[in-house]
Amino acid sequence: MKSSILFVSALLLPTALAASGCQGNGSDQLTGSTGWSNTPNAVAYDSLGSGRLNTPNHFQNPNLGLNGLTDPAQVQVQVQAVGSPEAVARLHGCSKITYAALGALLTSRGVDLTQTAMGTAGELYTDGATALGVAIYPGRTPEAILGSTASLAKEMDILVAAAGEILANNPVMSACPGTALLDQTGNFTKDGISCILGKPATADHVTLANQVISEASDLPTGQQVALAALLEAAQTCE
Amino acid sequence: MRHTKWRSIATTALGVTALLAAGCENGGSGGSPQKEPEGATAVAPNGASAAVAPPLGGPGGTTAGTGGATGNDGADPGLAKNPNIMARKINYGEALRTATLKLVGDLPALTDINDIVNAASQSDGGKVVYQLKIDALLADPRFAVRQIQWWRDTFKTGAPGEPTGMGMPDFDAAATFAAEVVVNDRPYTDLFTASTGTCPTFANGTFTDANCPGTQPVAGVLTDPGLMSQYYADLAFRRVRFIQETFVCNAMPTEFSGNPTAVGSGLYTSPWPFTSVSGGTGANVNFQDTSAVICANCHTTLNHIAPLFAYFDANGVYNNTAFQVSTPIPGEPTSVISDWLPAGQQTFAWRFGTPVTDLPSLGAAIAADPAIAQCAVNRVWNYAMSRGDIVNDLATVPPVVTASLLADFKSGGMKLKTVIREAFTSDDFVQF
Repeated sequence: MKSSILFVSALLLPTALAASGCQGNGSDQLTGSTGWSNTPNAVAYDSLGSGRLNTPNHFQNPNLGLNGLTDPAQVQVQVQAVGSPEAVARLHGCSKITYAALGALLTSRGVDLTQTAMGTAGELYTDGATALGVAIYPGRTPEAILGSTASLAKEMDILVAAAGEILANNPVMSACPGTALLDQTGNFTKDGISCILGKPATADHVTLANQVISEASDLPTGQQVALAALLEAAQTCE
Repeated sequence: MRHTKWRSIATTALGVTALLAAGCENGGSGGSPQKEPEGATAVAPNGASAAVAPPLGGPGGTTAGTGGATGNDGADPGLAKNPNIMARKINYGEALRTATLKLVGDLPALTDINDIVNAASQSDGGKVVYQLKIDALLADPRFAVRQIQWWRDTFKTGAPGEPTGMGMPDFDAAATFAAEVVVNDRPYTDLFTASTGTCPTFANGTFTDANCPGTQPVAGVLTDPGLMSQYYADLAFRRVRFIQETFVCNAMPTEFSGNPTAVGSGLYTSPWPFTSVSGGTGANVNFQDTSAVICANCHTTLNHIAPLFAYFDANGVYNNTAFQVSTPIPGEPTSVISDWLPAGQQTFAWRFGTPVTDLPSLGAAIAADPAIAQCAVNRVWNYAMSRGDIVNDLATVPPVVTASLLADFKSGGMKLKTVIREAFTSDDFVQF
């Protein structure tokens, strides 16, 4: 009896797989044909062209969906959440800091990106280029404009590592010559934080950063946590 | 143990980051701006193949009824009462930070930050000082470097530092030329009409003009061997799509008749005669097919342009004795003109009613198209405002938003650097 069930299953399983494969179409199939959808004559928003068998496939953009276009319905929901297309266009978005700019700002704040030791900001930056969304021009893929989970996580790793190196190299922040990041008590200075943020520090920045130091288990750890947090909060968006 | 400590620091920092961000928001000027949801953009004008209406307001415009826009220029009558708009405050310090990152690829120096702080007490709140900082950034040698990179990403091509060879073209020349046009205040239309010096080099802060190799007629970046190689594909369609999406800012279809007609399973919306593209019995490719979508809605435009680019081979080498692209049918034969256009209708055009004869005249037609100027301005706007790609991310820009920039662009000799300055000093840009 068991043998019979196994035998029948063995016969049916490939059949079922084959059937589902035919229905789904391969990735080199057009999407706009009647065969693509269960609805006769339906045309998807991301249709690449005509029927399955009557024209060749249309070119696609890598990593951007079937033909590189975002779903308008999804965009419309996002726009309505903000108010209108005009409102959306007049508000700043949140583009990721470019790979080159991230390197430049870290270097000008005292991080040595030529370091190759495991766990250094330099090593994480160099080895993390792909995660940070750099361009792949042979694949016609530009550097990512918007951040991804991977790119933001990698940036966080780099900034945490960079925080320790900036603290160690404080005297050589070339962007802010003569500026002390920390005062004699080990607390952050307002100018120092401004230099790290790239914009005027507020009293809140200073208060919160130094509160982190005071609540940490020890001074170096508190300084590094606070500095990493400042960097991450400021540099998430371009 | 070391990893444990790092993880602890990272986790703690992440939590503190949230606290700092929240705290700073409450603190006012240093806080995070009201942000749109990530990736939020306006709706595509005509992304769907079955589109039956032209986009309102030109490239990057918006369709009616999407998210509250009502006018042809995309103006939102309720904008002034939008809480996201109302919550914005001028913050020149924040503006200088993002402008510096975008224009020269680094954070501002402390002296520049403090200049903004010190100018806040002036009667204009520091506006003039901020504008002078933007002028300085545009004159900074790093601006040229950043521009080259921006054009690489816009063109989706480039090979910085890579030598050419093995028959491969210079994939960086087009971006370098486009950057030179911007940095040296040349008319934007040079991208389509320049007949010499379109493959410059850049070193030590200086552009050095050079002609591209090859025997092709020259029309700005349209005849750049690197771009031609990068966008090589059957029937040269990818090259046309590149030009359409990069310089017109919307996907095909892009031409619309005022009187669409029912054909097959949908509507034929192009102004071209339906039979102006190849198809039917005996054709290698049936561009008149109507069984699913209407191929001719896009291909009436595409097919009247693509043959002009078909003389460039996979390496971007021009050979005007024969087409250098294939037709994607069994055997992959070299394309023939009847693959695109039927006998008796084998003429070329940028658009219906805008005939061209060769690549330079195509370049001139593109340069004269108002959609090109609008697209250029809208791309700059999105660049300034940290928005996604105007085509792929549907980050469209209603015309009302960039109307003044466009007017100044057109009246000022099509200098894109002027548009960049206006965008980065605009009321919208300095508010967060």
